[in-house]
Amino acid sequence: MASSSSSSSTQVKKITLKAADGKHFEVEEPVAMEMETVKSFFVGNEDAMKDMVVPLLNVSSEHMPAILDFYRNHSEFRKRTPPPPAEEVKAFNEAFLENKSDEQLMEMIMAANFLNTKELLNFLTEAAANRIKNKSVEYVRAFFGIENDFTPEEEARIRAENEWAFDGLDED
Amino acid sequence: MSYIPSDLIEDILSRLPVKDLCRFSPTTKECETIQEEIVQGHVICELIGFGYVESIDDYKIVKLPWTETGGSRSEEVKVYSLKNRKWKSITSYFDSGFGFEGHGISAYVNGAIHFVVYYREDNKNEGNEYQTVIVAFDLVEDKLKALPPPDFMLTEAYRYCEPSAEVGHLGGCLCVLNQTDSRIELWIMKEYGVAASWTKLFITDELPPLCYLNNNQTHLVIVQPNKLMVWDSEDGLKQVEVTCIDGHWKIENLYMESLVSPNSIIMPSSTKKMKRQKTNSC
Repeated sequence: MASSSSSSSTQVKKITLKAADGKHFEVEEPVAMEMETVKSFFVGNEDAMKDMVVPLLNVSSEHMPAILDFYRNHSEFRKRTPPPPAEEVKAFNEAFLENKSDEQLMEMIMAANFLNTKELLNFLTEAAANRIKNKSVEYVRAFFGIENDFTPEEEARIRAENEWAFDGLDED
Repeated sequence: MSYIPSDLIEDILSRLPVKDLCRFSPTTKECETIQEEIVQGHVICELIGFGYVESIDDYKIVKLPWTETGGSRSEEVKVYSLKNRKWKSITSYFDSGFGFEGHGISAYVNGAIHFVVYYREDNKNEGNEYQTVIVAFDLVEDKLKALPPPDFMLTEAYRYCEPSAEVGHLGGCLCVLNQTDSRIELWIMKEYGVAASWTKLFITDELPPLCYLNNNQTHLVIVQPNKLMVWDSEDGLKQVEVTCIDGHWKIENLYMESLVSPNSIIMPSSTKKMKRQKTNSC
C-alpha cells in the first residue's frame, strides 16, 4: 500500500510568470514549458529553481490570459485520443481571434515571438496575413503603422508598373 | 503602434500571394546612397558586379577599374561592403593584371561574382595572343579566383582573336556565352568549379540572350528591336507577342528585386522591398 504513490501526485506543479507590468500568473508546468523562453530559463536548474518567478519583460498582462488560454486548449487538443474534429479546433481559433483589434493582434505576435513558440506565432502571423490579404496599400500602411514617404507622382508611376495587382480588391 | 521587428513583418508577408506583394511593393522607398570610390588615374573602363550573400547578411559591390596608370590593365579590385559602409582594395590574383571587354557583364552565382577577363601577351612573330580566364570574386572571402574554362576557351583559334565570351546565371549554374562571327553557343557549368561539367546547351544564329530568367523552367530571353524571344530546354526558341507597345521598342535595362533591405543590414527597420539595379549592356 505504501508503494502506490502515483495517485497522490495528481497535483500539477505550477510556475509563476511575471508580465512586463509586474502582474503574476500561475501556470501549470507543462503549459509553461510550451514556451521556449520559459523552458530555457530552467535548463540546467530543474529542481532548485522551480519556485522562482519567471519575468517576461516583453509581454503585457493584458495578453497573458488569452495566450495561456491558447496554450492550454492546444496542448489539450494534441493530447486527446482520438484527435478532436477539425471543426472544434477551427471554432476555438476563430473565437480566439474574434474581437481582437489589429493592434492587439500585432502585440500578441510580438509576445509570441518573445516567448519563442512556433505554434502560436504561426497561427497569429497567418491571421495577420489574412487580415491584409487583398487589401489596399493605404490599409496595409495603416496596419503596420508605416508613413507614406512617396510624392503622389512617384507613387502613381510605381503603381502603373503593377497595375494588374490593384484590380478587384476587397473594401478596407 | 509599437515598433515591429522586420523579421516578423517578413514572416507575415511571406504568407501572402504574389499579387498582394506586387501591390505592396510601393509601400516604402528605402534606398542607400554609396559614395563612389576614387580611383587613381584615368579610368578607361570598369567591370561592376553586385550581390547579396545570406551567410554573412551583406550586400557587396565589386569594381574592377582598368586605368591608364595600371599599364592598361586592371591590377586591383575594389570591394564595397554595405555592412562596413566602406570600400577596400584587394590586389588582383594576377601578377600582371588583366584586361577585359569594355561592356563586361558580371554574373552572380554561388556566392561569387564572375567576370570574363583576358591577358594579352605580345607575341613578336604572330601578333597578339590572348588567354581568356573566368574569374570569380568570392564575396565571403573577398578573394579573386580563376575557374576552369570550357573547352572552347582553350582552342587554338580562340587565342588569336579578342575574346567575346560573356558570363551569365542560368538555373543556379554559371553559364558562358561564346559568340563567334557566325553563331552563338551557350555553355553551362553544371557542377560549380568542376571542369568536366561544362556542357554545350545550344547554338543559335540569333542575337545573344538579354537576360536569364531563373524560374521553374529555366529559360532565357533574347531581344532584337521589336522582337522578343524566349528559350527553354523543352520547347527551344519561340517568339513572344508584345502587343501593348506601339512602334519601335527595345529593352535598355534590367533589375532584380529583393526583400532584403539595404538599411536592415546594420539594424532592423520597418517593411521593405528594394530594387537593385543591374547594369547590362544592350
